[in-house]
Amino acid sequence: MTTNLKGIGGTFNKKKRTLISLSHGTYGHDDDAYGAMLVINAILAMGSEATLLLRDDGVYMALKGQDPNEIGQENNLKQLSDLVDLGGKVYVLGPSLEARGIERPELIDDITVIERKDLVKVLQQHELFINL
Amino acid sequence: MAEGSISKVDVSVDTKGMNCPQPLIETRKKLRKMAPGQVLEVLGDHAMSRKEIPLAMQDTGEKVLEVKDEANGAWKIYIQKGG
Repeated sequence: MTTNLKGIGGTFNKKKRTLISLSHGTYGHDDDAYGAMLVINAILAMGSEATLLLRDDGVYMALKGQDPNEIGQENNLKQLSDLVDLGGKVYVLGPSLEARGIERPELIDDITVIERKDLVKVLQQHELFINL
Repeated sequence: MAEGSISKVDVSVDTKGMNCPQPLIETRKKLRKMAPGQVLEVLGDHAMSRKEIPLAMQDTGEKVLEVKDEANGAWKIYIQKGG
């Protein structure tokens, strides 16, 4: 079954489970992080399943209490909250946290930290992949 | 359903001033917390969302009861939560 998801462009297969992998930092990267949130929340709101995987510098997205006002940007915590409210999942890659000296208590609550060995299983649970 | 026949609204969400896809996101968030059979009233003024929200309800069991146009491009959509 396909449904034309005009709001974000193109045709979107609602039966497919989508994994969006974000490896860029939250700010100053051509809005990749914001774009990821916009797309994944639209997919979930259309009634499909979707997961956000944060890896490399993408893990900064999940830090609690971000306040980027000084650089003239807004954080994405509202969008992350929306994602959870829409039934989406957020996975954060543990080794990426360790490499940046980030501890689990520094992150928002509604995420799951996974290890490299879990990646294959996560990938197998999805049919569509978007890398940002 | 004829215009003006919505007799009972259980939950309302105001998306006026929001752009696509936020009105749909706010709609779905409300629906997820509602019980089957309850009616959601969505207020908005984003033209694309007026089309997109009913489209998104097609395959998820919700029933669009009415799409009502208001003054100045505003609209109301009434959705009954599916079982």
